[in-house]
Amino acid sequence: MSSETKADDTIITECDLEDRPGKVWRALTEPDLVASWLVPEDVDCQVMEAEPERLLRCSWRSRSDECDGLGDRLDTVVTFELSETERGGTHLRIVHEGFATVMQSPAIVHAANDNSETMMRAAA
Amino acid sequence: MIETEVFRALADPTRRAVFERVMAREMNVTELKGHFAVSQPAISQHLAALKGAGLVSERREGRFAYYRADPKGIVPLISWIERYRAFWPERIGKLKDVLKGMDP
Repeated sequence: MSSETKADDTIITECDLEDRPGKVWRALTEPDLVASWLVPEDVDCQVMEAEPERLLRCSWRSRSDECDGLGDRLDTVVTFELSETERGGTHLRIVHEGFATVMQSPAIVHAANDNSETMMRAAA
Repeated sequence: MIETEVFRALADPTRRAVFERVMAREMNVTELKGHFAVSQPAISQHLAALKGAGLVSERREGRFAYYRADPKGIVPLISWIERYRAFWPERIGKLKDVLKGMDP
C-alpha cells in the first residue's frame, strides 16, 4: 500500500488486493457492504460516475446538518479505480481530490454576504 | 475565517510559495520579491489574497508593511488533508476484512 499527497490538493492511495475486481466492486457498491467499511457518518457520498468493475467516482462532502459553520466544511471528489492484476487480484487506486476547490454553494454565498469584512479584505 | 478562502488562496503555486516564505519569518514585500521571478505588484496581490483568507497578517512600521503567516489560518486545510491521509490506508484495512467475510 502506498499513499502520497500531490499538488497540495490530492491524496492518492494505492493497494493490491487478493480478490478479483468483481468482488471488490461489490464491496464498493452494495449498500450493506459499503456501510460496513467506507463512508463515515459525517460524510455525504453520492455516485457521480460508475463503470462496473473499473471506476467509481463519488462526491465526498460534509453533511450540511453536521457542519459547525463553514470552518469544517469539505467538498471533495473520490475516485476508485480498479484494475485486474496478473495474479487475478485487484489493484485499487483511490484518488481523493478537490481540497482546494472553490465552493459556490448557497450557504457559502449567504455566509460571505453576512461577513462584509472578510469580503472587503478578500477583494482588497 | 472561511475555509474556502484558505483553499482558494493556496491553490496557486506562487501564492503557496509566498505563504511558505512568510511562514519561516516576517518579511516585507521587497524582501519577498527577491525570492520570486514575478513583479512586486504581483507579490502584493498574492499577499492581499492570503490576508483575505486569514492566512497572513500585516504589521505596519512607518512606510513599511511586514507580513507573516497567521498560524491559525492554515489549520483547516492541514486538518482535512492530514485526516484523509490517515483515513484511506485505515479504510483499506477495513475493506480487506470485508472482502474476507464475503462470498467468493
